[in-house]
Amino acid sequence: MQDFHGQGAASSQSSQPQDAVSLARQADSLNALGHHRRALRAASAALAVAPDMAPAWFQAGLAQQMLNHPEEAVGCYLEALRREPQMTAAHARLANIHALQGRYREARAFAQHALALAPGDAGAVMALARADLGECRLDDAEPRLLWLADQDDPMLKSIALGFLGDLRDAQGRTGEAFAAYRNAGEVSRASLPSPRESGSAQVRRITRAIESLTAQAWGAPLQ
Amino acid sequence: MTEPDAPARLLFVLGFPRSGTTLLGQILATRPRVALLEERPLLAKAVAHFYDPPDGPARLAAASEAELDGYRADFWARVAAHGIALPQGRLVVEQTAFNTVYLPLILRLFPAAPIVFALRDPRDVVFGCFRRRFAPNRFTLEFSTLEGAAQLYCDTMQLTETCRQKLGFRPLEIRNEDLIADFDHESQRLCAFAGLDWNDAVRDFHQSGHTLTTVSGPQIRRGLSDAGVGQWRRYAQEMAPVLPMLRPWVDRFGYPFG
Repeated sequence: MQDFHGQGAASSQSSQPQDAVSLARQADSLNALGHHRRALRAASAALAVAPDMAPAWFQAGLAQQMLNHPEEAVGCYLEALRREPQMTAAHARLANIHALQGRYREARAFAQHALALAPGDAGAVMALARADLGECRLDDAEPRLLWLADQDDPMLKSIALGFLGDLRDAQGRTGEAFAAYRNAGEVSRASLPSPRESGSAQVRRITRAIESLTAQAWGAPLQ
Repeated sequence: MTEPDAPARLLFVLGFPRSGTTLLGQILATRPRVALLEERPLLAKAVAHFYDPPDGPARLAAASEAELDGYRADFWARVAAHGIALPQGRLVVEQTAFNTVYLPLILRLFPAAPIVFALRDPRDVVFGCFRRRFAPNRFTLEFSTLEGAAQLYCDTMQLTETCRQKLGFRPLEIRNEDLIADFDHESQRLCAFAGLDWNDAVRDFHQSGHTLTTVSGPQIRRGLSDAGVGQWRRYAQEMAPVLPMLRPWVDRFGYPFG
């Protein structure tokens, strides 16, 4: 998906104060690294200097979205689009948020905008597929999901395979559904680094520690 | 900030992911003076100190009240950072299914906070986790295989059992299937436990307009449905390798096996 460095971003930056450009780029990098709280602070600082800077609004939206604040993200993306109506990534991200919130008409409208600007934009296609599934339009969803599952981006591929599983499930093709779920998990697992301690291992470690507690070792009364 | 001085009443909604925690949170959020916080990293600082390091549990056991107060204050600061106003008498509902793995920490930091624990047929829970894609973390990575999902489920339930035996964990248990079968009765139990009144508006939980940020959001918006009850049966053949390990929990929670 096109984000900060996409079309239109550079042109809107050229007239902005240099420190705001630098802060927006910092927000971009921080979002890419997963430091969304810090990214939001950097984007907010950029906007304090240059309130009309569309890429900074976009980065603020991205940070809010990643921080699980979808409605705040919608506000930021709309601010970005007010200043830069051709920003495909903002249209696509709005489409996906609306689709996730069950607002399928809005999702389709933003997705179509994104596709008009960038035919084949995967984020927009994903939003349409989400809307199709939400509205049980399985025949519309299927070609979109098959196309998305064929893309290189592992995150996109994994999500698409999972939805493809749901589609097969709804068609009663449970064997194919299960295979799609399994493929989604494999793609996801292969694309992510393994943690030093797995989730199960951590839970077992904590359980052993609690089991071995004596009455004196816990600050609160033990049973 | 000792617990009696906390800025608001606090209630946790826990349970393994896909057990119905989102539904419980949405029901509570229909009541006035309830602030629902879904899937927020409010315990992040305490987790980093008391959970992730190898000596974390020992630190947790030995922590003084003064030290714990610092982590309580951080929790409430994070609540405030989410724009939650905390007037007198407000109930903050913290609903993050993955916090179940942090149960000992919650019991130590907030021993007076009531806990609601969502239950659902373990086979539906595990299959539900396997089929959904979650934001990646060390726990959701386990869901990338059916075996991993089942193992994490068993480990997490064993932790809750240990907390019952050792730490006095006494939650209000709400079975998802019971809630679907008799919504009024179960939602009344839930509200009474939370110290909230109940009226017809609770039935409209799915029309509340609240933003839903969990993977259960799309289902919740469609209202109450029994479509997910027993869904694992259609995949019984594929689920066969993990059914023996789930059996103790199927029995423990009173679901018929087979």
